[in-house]
Amino acid sequence: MPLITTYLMFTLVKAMTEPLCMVVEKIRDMADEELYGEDKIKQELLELQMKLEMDELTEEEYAIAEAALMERLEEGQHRGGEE
Amino acid sequence: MSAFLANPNLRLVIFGGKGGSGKTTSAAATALHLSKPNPQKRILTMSTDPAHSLGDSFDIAIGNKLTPIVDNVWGLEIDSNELLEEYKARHGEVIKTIADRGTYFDKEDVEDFFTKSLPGLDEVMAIIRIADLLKAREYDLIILDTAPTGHTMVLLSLPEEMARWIHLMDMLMEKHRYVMKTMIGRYKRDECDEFIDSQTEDIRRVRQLLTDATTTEFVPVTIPEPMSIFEIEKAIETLKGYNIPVNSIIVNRVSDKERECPFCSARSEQGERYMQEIEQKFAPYNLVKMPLFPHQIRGEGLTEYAQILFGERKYTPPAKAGVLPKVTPLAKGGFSDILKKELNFVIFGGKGGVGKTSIAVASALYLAQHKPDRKVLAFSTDPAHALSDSFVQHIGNEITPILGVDNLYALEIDGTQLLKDFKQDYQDVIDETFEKFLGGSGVDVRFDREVLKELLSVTPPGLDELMSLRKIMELMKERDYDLFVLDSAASGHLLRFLELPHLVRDWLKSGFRLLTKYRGVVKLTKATELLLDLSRDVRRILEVFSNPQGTEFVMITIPEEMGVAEMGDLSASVANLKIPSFHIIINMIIPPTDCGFCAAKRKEQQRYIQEIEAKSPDHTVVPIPLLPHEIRGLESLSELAEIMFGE
Repeated sequence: MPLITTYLMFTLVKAMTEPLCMVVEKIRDMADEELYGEDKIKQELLELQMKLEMDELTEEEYAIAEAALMERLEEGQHRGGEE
Repeated sequence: MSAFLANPNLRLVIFGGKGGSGKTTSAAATALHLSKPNPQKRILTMSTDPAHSLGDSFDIAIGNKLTPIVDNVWGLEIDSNELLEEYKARHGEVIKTIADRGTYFDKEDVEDFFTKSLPGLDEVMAIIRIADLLKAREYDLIILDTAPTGHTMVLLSLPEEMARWIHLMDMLMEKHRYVMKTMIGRYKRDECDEFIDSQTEDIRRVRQLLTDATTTEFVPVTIPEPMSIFEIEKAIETLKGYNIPVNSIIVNRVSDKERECPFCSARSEQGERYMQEIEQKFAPYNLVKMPLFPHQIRGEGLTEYAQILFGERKYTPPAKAGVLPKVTPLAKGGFSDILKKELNFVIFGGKGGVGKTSIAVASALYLAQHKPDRKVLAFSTDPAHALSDSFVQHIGNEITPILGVDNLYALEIDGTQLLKDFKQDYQDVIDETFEKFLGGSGVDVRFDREVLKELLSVTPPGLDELMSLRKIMELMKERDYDLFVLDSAASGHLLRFLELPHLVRDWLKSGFRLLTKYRGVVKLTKATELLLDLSRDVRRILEVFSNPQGTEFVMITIPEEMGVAEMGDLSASVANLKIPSFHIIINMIIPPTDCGFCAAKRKEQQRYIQEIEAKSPDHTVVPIPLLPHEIRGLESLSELAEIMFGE
């Protein structure tokens, strides 16, 4: 295949797949934000604390859920550091 | 100057003053006395003190129902919780509709609010009950027996505040009226508008009556003691501000100078000094002096009291007491076991006028002196504070070191000021919260802005007490003090204060439910954090209240019918709230004597002392004698403490 054809093919494929990659990346970012975003985790933490104060969670249940949130927060910070 | 309550057109007479000054007795006696020459006049005696003693005074069980006392006199001891339920049953639906129309909350949310009780309810319900009575015009004269001064001043300030709440409801309706007009071109008035109109009219009627000098009189009741004088002095000033008429002042327990007994004469000399102060300070008023009786005034005794009160009879003291009772000298040091405990929180409570402040302050002083490594804070939450007077040192709303005792501090918590500070400190959070919950209609923000402005300027009942509680929680959290000694408001309002953490927790749960429910619509991070903090603090204080190692509620009473009756009610409620209590202090016991007057009084007291001892097998009963002089300043406080703690 002449070089020019290879180049054109490459450009075409790239042009076709790039938006898709961007979408995939965007989705991944959103998922990350949903899972590891500090604001999101803070809101969840407040919700947990409210549940504890409403007696909907026991101290033990709260401790477990809080630990899971903290883990996610750390993971998020870790990921943020990598990028 | 006209004679005592001589105005035949009176429709409302309010008796007020410090606890234990004789308000109830005066109210009950006045009702009986005014009823006789006017058999056609229907007279209602109504108690607004949550710790009622009107029934004890008449010697008839009354409660929250109109109870016949004699031919044309009725009695009523209002129960604010029952009245709230009645009010909700009558007007609940309309109020829910108004809230639904004017706020962001839906019916379910409002429904939930309706299951909750409110702080400060006693005063609100009293005003509503008075409004209803005035509307029904069933009684020609209403005589109010009120709670001790501080809370009575709150009661009298309420109609003005309540008029603003009603105005707020009207503003909440304004948006709905606007929408209806825009959509269908006109607005048809409905039951909500009628409710607002009728409430406005009811409150207007109460306000008008309160300030009408031709039909209303407030009668301050005092005794020749400094705190009692100070309280009515402040009250009269406040009443002037509200334009509530005052003509006469009752001075109770004015003792006879000419007695041989050294104990009696020491007390009467001191009384004489304060009597002069009263005569100077209250010269423009008609001073009605009532003698010190050797016996308590109840039931049939009210007639004699009333005759003297209305100047129809002179008092003649009993010539002889008959057989002198044999009484053993009082045991000392009944309170010393407190020293062995590492307490963090001691609450002193009891009826008004039983000596709570002196005993609380003397205990704080003794504990500070005998535990020099512990920092002690004596504080009071009663709107009519007495710590400054007891320590003879100005205290006020700032923690103040007590001169001469390194580890003793005092604080008179001013809930109203704290509330103002809170509003200022958290203005942004408050604004954010209300804006987000009131907005969202998309109709016209003008209405919401106006409602918001009004909402922030009104004060819901009881918030000042909540602020006092918050202050205590804050101090406990900071751990600057090892022992807190509370000189509380008189029993009725003390109880409300002790119930407050439970009530706040209930409201907070509702708040959290709302925040969770609307989390997709409004995010109130700062407000949520603030409420979470409050909730944790409340939980902590509930733990502190119920910890038998760290906390004790000390009951103080006097050996009289009303003191004993109130003690019973308070004890039951304290036990119900799971607050540990191991001591009962019986104060003001007349020491052994040969004086006829003292002996007669002591004989009567003995019966109640025995009754208290028999009823309280699980408590250590600590007797304290009536001292011949007043208890003010560190020296006399130490003397009192020595009797309580000393071996």
